[in-house]
Amino acid sequence: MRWLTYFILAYLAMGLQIGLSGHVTIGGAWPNLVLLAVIFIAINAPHDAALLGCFTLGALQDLATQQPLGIFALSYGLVAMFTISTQQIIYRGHPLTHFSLALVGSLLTDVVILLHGWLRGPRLSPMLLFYSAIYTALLAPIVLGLLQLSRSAFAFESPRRKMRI
Amino acid sequence: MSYLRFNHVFVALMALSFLSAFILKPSATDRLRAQVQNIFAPIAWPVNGVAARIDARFGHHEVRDDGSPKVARTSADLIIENQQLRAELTSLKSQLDRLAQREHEREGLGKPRNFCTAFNVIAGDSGPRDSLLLSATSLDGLQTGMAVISTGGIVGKISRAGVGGASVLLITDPQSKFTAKFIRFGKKSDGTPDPQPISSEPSLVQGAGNGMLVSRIMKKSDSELHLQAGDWAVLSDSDWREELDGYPTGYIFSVTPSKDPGFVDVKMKPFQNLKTLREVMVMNKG
Repeated sequence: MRWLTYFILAYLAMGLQIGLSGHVTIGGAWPNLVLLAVIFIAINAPHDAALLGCFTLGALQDLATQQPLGIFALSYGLVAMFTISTQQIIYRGHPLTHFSLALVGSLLTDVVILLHGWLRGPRLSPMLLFYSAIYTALLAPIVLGLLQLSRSAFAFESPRRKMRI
Repeated sequence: MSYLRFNHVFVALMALSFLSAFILKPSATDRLRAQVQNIFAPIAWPVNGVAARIDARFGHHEVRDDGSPKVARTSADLIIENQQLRAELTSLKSQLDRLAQREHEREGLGKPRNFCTAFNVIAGDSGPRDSLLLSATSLDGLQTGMAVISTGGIVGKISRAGVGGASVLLITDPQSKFTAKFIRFGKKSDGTPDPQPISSEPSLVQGAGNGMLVSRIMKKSDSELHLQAGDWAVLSDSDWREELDGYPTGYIFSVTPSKDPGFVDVKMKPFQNLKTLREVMVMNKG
């Protein structure tokens, strides 16, 4: 994977995430654009690069939130592990794949956030997090569809080709 | 790096993030974050500016008229009320000046704005919490715990301040707690607004997320005034600066019976959408 392109994507995703925060909410639900970048990296990048890339995206998101440091890094690490395990069985260009992976990824992140709220506080509204997961999943086909067009800029190594070598 | 070795590194990173998120106190890692939290400002600031303009142009913005919440007033009514308010303001100003002359020891007790510095908001929270990132640093005199206000009332407190930026924990965040009293605006015989206290004792108010505040208070007897939609909650908390006593925090939009018998749940909203503010005032003087 081309790491410079990855960092440009990470920076843009984070800038958009916090810049749009509060302006694109629907009934309090907010879209998680960084998670969509995580899904994009996880379905395309090779195993090690995907895990490291997703974890780093989470760590970057942790820098600009009131949540404790590590919440998003841990969540996106788990999301990456799940998504990578499905790499061989999914059609990575299909909108339904993007929707379902974003939904599962969002719900996985919500579980970590709720678990943290339950153990350490403050408790956040589960319904609001659920609506945010739906919002993110609905955006996924559009955002990931556009990102898939720029795949060549990331120089992802095809796992199948690697296996032949 | 071999496959096995990378897995070890990744497991160590995950364990570290778990430790930081679930075991360590947030204050332990906040120092680090305060130094780097504004690194996304070059993208976030212009994006936030464009989004705010689009929001202002096309978004739905509720206009509140506390003087007449049910029926829209005519321009003539508003002009008359403005004249009355101007007269009252002049009177109050002269009274305040007289008091200021008499009470030298309390010279500092003036308008909260006199103790503030205005700072631009870069962006909001990257997660589900209610917070703002400011284009200000500890070098501007900002410290954790400083009060933040705007024209619409109390905004929150500085939660992190470092050389890399500062963030504000909004009063609507579930982590925010303060005490407030409730007031209702009646009208004097001359028609000017007259704030009347409803509660003598302050009540605990806490953020509920999603731009809301909640308070659970004891049900009042029939002889007492009951809280109702439109009443204001004003700050009355010794943990906040004295100058902010009585400063508005929000208005009540619903009062419902609580699950706990004998209590009512009071839901409030700030006068502005705090997450979309473009500028705030930090009380960093005095």
